[in-house]
Amino acid sequence: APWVLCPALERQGMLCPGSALLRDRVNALGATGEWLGGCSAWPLRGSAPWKGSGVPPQDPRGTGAVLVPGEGAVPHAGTRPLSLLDDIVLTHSLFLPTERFLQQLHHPPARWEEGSGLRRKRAVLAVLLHFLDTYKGLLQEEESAGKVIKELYLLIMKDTSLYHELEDEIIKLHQLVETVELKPPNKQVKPLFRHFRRIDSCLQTRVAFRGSDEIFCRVYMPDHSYVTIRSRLSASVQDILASVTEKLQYSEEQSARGDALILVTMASSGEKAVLQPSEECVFTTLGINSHLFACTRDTFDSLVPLPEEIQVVPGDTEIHRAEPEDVANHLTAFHWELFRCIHEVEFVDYVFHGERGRRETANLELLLQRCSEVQHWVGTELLLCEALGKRAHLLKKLIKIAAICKQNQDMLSFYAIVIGLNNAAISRLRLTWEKLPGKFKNLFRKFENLTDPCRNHKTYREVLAKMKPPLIPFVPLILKDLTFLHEGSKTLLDGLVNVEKLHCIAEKVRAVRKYRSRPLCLELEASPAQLQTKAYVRQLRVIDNQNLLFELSYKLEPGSQ
Amino acid sequence: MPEQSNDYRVVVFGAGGVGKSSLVLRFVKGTFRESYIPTIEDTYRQVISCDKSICTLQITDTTGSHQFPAMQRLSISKGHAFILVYSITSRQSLEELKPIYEQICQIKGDIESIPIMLVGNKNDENQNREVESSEGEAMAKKWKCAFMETSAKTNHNVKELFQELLNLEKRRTVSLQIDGKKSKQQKRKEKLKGKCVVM
Repeated sequence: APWVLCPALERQGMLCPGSALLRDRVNALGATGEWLGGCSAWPLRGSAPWKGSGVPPQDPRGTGAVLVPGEGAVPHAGTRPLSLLDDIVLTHSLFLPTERFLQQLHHPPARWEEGSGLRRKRAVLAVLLHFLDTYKGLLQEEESAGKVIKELYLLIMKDTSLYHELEDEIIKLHQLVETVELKPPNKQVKPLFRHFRRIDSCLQTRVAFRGSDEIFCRVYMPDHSYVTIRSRLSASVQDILASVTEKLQYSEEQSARGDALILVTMASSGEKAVLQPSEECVFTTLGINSHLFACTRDTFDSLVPLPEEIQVVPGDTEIHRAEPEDVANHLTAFHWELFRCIHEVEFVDYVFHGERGRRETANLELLLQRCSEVQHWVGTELLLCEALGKRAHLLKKLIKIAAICKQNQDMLSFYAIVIGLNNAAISRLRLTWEKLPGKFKNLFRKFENLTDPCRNHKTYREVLAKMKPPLIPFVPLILKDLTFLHEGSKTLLDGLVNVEKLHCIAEKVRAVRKYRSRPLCLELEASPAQLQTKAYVRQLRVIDNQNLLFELSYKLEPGSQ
Repeated sequence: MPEQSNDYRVVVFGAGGVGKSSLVLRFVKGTFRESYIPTIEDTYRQVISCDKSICTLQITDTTGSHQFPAMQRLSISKGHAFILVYSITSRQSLEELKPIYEQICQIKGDIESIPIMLVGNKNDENQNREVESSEGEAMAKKWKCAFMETSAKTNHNVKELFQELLNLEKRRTVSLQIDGKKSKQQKRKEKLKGKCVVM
């Protein structure tokens, strides 16, 4: 029965010698002989072999072995050791590819001790269960990891009869493996909503995007012709170009002559950038009104952005008709859907993707995109409103919407609206702001204080800490924190893993887990008027070209400031 | 903000595999390939003349499958002229045009003022013919639209198809020739040439 792995860990010394706290923690763990051999830093002294493609080396004393479920007790919920396991499961990809991580569970023991077999098996099972529970459907995207899990699963199944004590765990394992393997029947091709915004079935509940999902995407030519290609979300630039070339019946001579196509992203402002052939999953990283262009190197300079989609129809949009409560509630409901679609691991991968082969973080990117969309929406709506009185009324309405979002504990919408109103093209509209009732001026001043970034967003953090789940945090701030954690300390030093860093990162992820630990229930009617508001909120049309926003702003109030 | 309404929009409909994309690509790029890639929605642009000035001809190539009714409705409401393509090798493909034609009638209303061309493509495959020319003509008569048989493969009647379609437009003068005057000059030249017999 070789599925128990890795002998007890030998303590190899610790990282961060200055940290008394860390040492205390380690000692505490070590004393109770708990999880993972009570180590704070995992020895990776024999780290060289990890680079190769071979199996980790067999070291009789276990110095090369990394993941070692100790022989101690199985972790109990709520105890520190469980959080240590959780830290590692969430963040292992920082120093060990998932596949390797799993192989550690699979690895035959260098030293097999009969007596401790059961405890070790239980420990391995605990790690595996926790891993599966955390990653779930995400594993469908990772073939190699899936293979390791399957092998491990088969080995465990073989041994089931020997270990009746493990029955509960094994039943759980059955269930988890099933959910991981179960692919949703006939996956639908998802139009990336931005390109099909008016016709996408936007009223349906959003489900998470995965790398293997097929999507439709438009790729434009220099003359603004376009082809719609069908592609995996995770497709590389090279793949996209291959589809475009094929569609256009681009001849082989042309590509051979060096007229090969390049893929370019172009923002509505005309800003453009060439994408590298190896770049992957570019669709979700585009700006709001950015588009993909395929062109030859010669034509790159002559590329011009698509004409602005939005037509100035003064004051004719849903926002003027809808009640602020309804708009706010639909914003919250939609952002909750988007927030729920983000896998915990995406937070880790988003910040650290530079180092390892990248896992898709599409759902997180879509939320960020949405956040900036809401910011521009606020400005767009105000600037498309020509009459001063009406504009002041709309400003009041938007502040009210922000207030309700805050009440809904939807800090993402709240922040986005406040930032949007703070856009220089809006804040310079002196006449509009002067017409705002004093009560709302004060309210907005409060909102500005709440979103004030000083002392590392102290005010906001305090407010957030008092909120009980469910809530939607201002996600960009979480990413900022993660980036600081990442850039502020090393992950590896002298072949040791900085477990304290992993812990801090995992704490951030656990905060997200907590925010989502209870379902958000808003009472939304399904009346036609409500559906209209819902559709409006879910497919905002915005101007994201700051120059154009300024232009409109100066046209409305030339003399301001 | 640039005006979009100056564009003249032609939309190509038809069942899957009848050769919509082949016709469009033959016209736009002059190429033809045997390989089949299902289309979702592509739009090609070309400069043409319109009421003595220049405008853009937008040709939208649509999907043959019925997966996206909303997209179809949108293309119809935005289109100025329509090409309905079937394959002369498939009676079924002619049948499948009926609901599309009905939808155009529904959305556009006054169907007679809208240029519509019924096209029997693949007429190079006479040996597999299932739909006779006369049947196509009869259908066109019933639908009060024009009719033509084409082959994207042999480049038969492709350019003519688009030119004829534009000729059907009575509300403005649209022509594939970029400059109307120039074409007159060319005609004159050709006339002259015709008179000059080189011995």
